[in-house]
Order: sequence, then C-alpha cells, then structure tokens
Amino acid sequence: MAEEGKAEKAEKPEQTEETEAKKTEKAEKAEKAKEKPKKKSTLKEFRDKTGIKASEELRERHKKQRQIVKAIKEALKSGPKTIPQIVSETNLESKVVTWHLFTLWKYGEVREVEEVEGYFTYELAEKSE
Amino acid sequence: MVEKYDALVIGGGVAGMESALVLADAGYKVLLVEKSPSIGGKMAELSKVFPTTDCAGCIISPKIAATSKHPNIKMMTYSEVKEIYKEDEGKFKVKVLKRPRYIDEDACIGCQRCEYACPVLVPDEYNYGLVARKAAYIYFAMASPRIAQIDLDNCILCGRCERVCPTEAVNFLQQPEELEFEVKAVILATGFKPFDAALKTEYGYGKYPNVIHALEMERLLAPSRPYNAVLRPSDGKIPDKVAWVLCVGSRDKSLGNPICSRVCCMYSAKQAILFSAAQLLADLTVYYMDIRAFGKGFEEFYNMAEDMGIRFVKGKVAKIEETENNNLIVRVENFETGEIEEEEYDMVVLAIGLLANSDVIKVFKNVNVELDPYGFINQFDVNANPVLTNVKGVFVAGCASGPKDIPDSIVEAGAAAAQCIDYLYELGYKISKVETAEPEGVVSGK
Repeated sequence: MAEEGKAEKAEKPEQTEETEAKKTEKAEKAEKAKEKPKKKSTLKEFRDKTGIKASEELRERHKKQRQIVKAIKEALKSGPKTIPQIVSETNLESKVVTWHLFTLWKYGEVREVEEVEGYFTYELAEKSE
Repeated sequence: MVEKYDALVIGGGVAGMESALVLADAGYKVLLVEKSPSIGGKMAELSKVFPTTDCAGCIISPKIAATSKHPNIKMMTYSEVKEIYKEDEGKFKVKVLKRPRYIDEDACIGCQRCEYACPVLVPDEYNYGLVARKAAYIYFAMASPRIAQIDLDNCILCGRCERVCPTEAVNFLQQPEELEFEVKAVILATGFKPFDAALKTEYGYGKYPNVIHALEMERLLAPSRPYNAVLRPSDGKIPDKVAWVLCVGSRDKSLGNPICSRVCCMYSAKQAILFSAAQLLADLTVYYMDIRAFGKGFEEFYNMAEDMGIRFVKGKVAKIEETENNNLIVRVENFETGEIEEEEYDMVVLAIGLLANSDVIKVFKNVNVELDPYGFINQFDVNANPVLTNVKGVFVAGCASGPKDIPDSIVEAGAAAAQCIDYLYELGYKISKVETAEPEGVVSGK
C-alpha cells in the first residue's frame, strides 16, 4: 500500500503547466514591478478609510490554528509519526489533527514517509524544518 | 458605451464552456459569466469519468484553456448576473456584478506567494472542507484565470500578502463593480446543486467524520487530492472496508426530490472500481434500490464492478451509527432476503443527488422563465426541442434543465448554441467575419 500510495503521489500533477512564453511574460511583469516606485500599502489606507479590523472571533480562531500547527510540528520534530501517534502526543482531537496535518501536506510543509499498520507516517519537509 | 455581445452564457461549467465555444468558433461574440473564481464547474472537481474511467481533468483542461484564450469569448469570473431585461427580440440588457478579488487581475502572475505567506486557514470549498485553503488563495491548481483572491471575511488584515507580492497586485481598496451589457440571446448553464447530505439526518453526515459524500470521495480519488491517498478524515487510516449508499436525496419524496439523479449508480460504481484498483484487498459494498445502467457501456461497467468483487446489495439503509473507533455501523433492510442486517465499515460514502440550481430565473426582471415541477429550468418543448425555454431567445443547457451526465450535458450545450445561432440568424444577425483562433496556435474547443 505504501508503494501504491507513493505511485499515486507521483501521479499528482504539479501546478498548471506553463509555456516558456508565459514564464517570460511573468518574469517581465515581476521585473517591471521592481522598477516601479514602491506602491503605498493599500491595507493601511483600507484600515484608515473603513476602520475595519479583524474581529475578536477571527483572531481567536487564528490563534488556535497557530497553536495546533505548532503542536503538530513539534510532535513531528522527533521523527515520522502517524496521526494517532500525533494525537496521543498532543492530546488534540483526531479529526482536528487530520485537517491541519493535511493542510500542511497540501502546502508542502509535511510529507508522507511509509505505511505502518494501516496508517501513513508523516515527517516535516525541509521547507518546514 | 455599453459593450455588446451576441450571446450571454451564464455558468462556466462544462455545458457553459461548450455552448460558449460553439458560438465563439462560429464567429459570435460571447460574454461568459461565472460566479466562482474560476471556470471549470463541477467537472473540474472530479477524479475520472464513467464508463471509460478517463481522467476528468484531462478532458476539462483543454476546454478551460480554449474558453480562456478564445478571442470571441469575454470571460467574467467571480461575477454574477444581477438583472436581465428583455427589451425586444434579440435585445437583452444585462447588469453584471463583478466582485472584488482585492487583487489587480492584470498584475497578478498566479505565483501563489500571497497564499503561502497567508497565515489564516479556512475550509477549502474546492475540497469540500476536507483541508484548508488560505484567506489569500488561488481557487485550485488548474484555475482559469489563474488569479488569486483575498477572502476578506476571513482575513486578519496582517498585510503579509501585500508585502510578499512581487508585482504589487494586492489592492484592498478594490470595490464591487456593476457593469452593463447588451446581448442578443441568453444561454442558461447554471448546472446543479448537490443535495445537502446533512438533511438525511439518520446517516450522520456532518456528525460522523467518516461519513462523506460522493463529491468528497471524488476529491479523495482525484490526482490533485487533498490527502496523500484515500484516507479516513477522522484519523488518516487507510480504509479497508467501505460502503456506498445510493439514492441519498434522490427518489425521496420526503426530502422533496422524487426524481432519479441519473448519475449516482454509475459514479458510485466508478468510485468503487477506482478504489478497488488502488487497494486490491478492500472490501467494498454498494447499497442500492435499483441499478439504473441505461447508457452505452453502463451495464458492462456495472458488470465489471461486480466482477472485480464489489458487492452490490439491494436494500434500503435505515441508519448509520458510529462506534468508539470512528467506524460506522450500517443498518440495512436487505430487499432480497427480507432481513435487517448490520455491518461495520471504516468509511461510508453517500451518493448524493443532483438538485435544481435555478435561482438564475430571479434575474429576469420583465419576463418569467418557467421552472418544471422539480425546480429545474422548464424545457418548453421537451420532446422536439429540449433546449428552448418559454422565453424566446433564452436557451438552457446541461444540468440546469435536469440531472444528466457529462456527455449528455455537452451534447445539450452544443444544441443550445445551435438553437441560439438559429435565433440570431432569424433575426438577421449573421457573422461578417469569422475569427478563428487556430492560426494563433490557440487550442480549439473542438
């Protein structure tokens, strides 16, 4: 299954293929932006004009997410682990760990290692380390 | 000055794209309006198609590319048609609301730096919440246009996206824009709404993490899946024993949808086949009321699933309950034995039905587009000309007029475009110059 998992992973297409022309166009746009004088922060202006701030609830949710991500990364520092192993080390709810761990996987911060008794083990990717 | 187009296509799924491409290839100018940040629709979420098990992404991406690049198609994504007034035959006034992405569309190069920098996690709609996206994000990898947007409702206004953007594309000052157009005809291709599985309370969707619906299973099976393999959402376990429950939200008067959704039997067989191919020893069961394998190659596909060892049980699932280890007990009345049976599974997939997505009719302000008794756009001449609505100059394509599979949606989309051309031709609007994308090297829709 581990092999199958890896084979399936290899199938996963990378981001949309880009033609050389498109890459050049992107690079040109990025170059042009560098040459331009630095734009004023629109966020600052937005805040000043509207007075809108992130709600307390949103900040709380974000804080909690950060703590969960930190706990998962901390658990993985000592080596590859399955989700149940992360759960027992962090005391977090299993589905919460799954959701955050696969989000880290999606953004390349965590990668799968091997299958152990019906579960994959995961480790921190270099990017995250 | 008001921009003029020959046709307005509402909906950028496979039917909308096909209609737009047929019209555009024939030389007509098309305005394509899509609500979500990218065209592609539901098909862009699927793993493979039945009964050929061809890769859905491989079929849809050339259409996405052709639609995006066609010189005769103006594509408006993240936009909504708000009002349509029919002023005369061949004359519709249209108001479109362009929602702000808080990103300068011309400057964004789709590099995703804003997304990687953004610290906020939000349930990812494209993956039905199985994982998170960021508050600054690109809708999905193949999205077209490949432009980021900032979800201001979930943004903590930290400004990281603005700081890392290499082209200074982030613009928090963007405002919604209301734009006016004049078109000669309208094609409604708004697709379907998936049945909300949580309404079938006895199956525990939303309460038990390992009860998922079929579109979630599609994401788990797709090459661009949210997990590294098909795994349980509760704990990442590789499921050995999986059940599919058919007719969830279809053929069910108690839930207000008495009709068959036409695709659930086959997509469930397809999912079981794909799952079985990835995990040869898995124990897979499909609970069904009737198997409706009516299309070309469908019966053979169903037989193939049985030959692969997938168990089909004719019965009605009454209840699903969760055990301590997040397994699921399925209680079913077996129609063939008359017995009440209980069986434990690692994961259960609910084959949700296709419901009408006809809110679009509210945008017509001085004409009434009729609905059928099930809430789909009424096919005014269902036997002789199923793409006509009751309003002349307004056509319907794909699942907007009722559940159907991908080939049928594409056929109907082509027919709607042909009828639209006929309507324009009758009114005397002929193409003076056919602009074809071929010489420029742009992929044709054909």
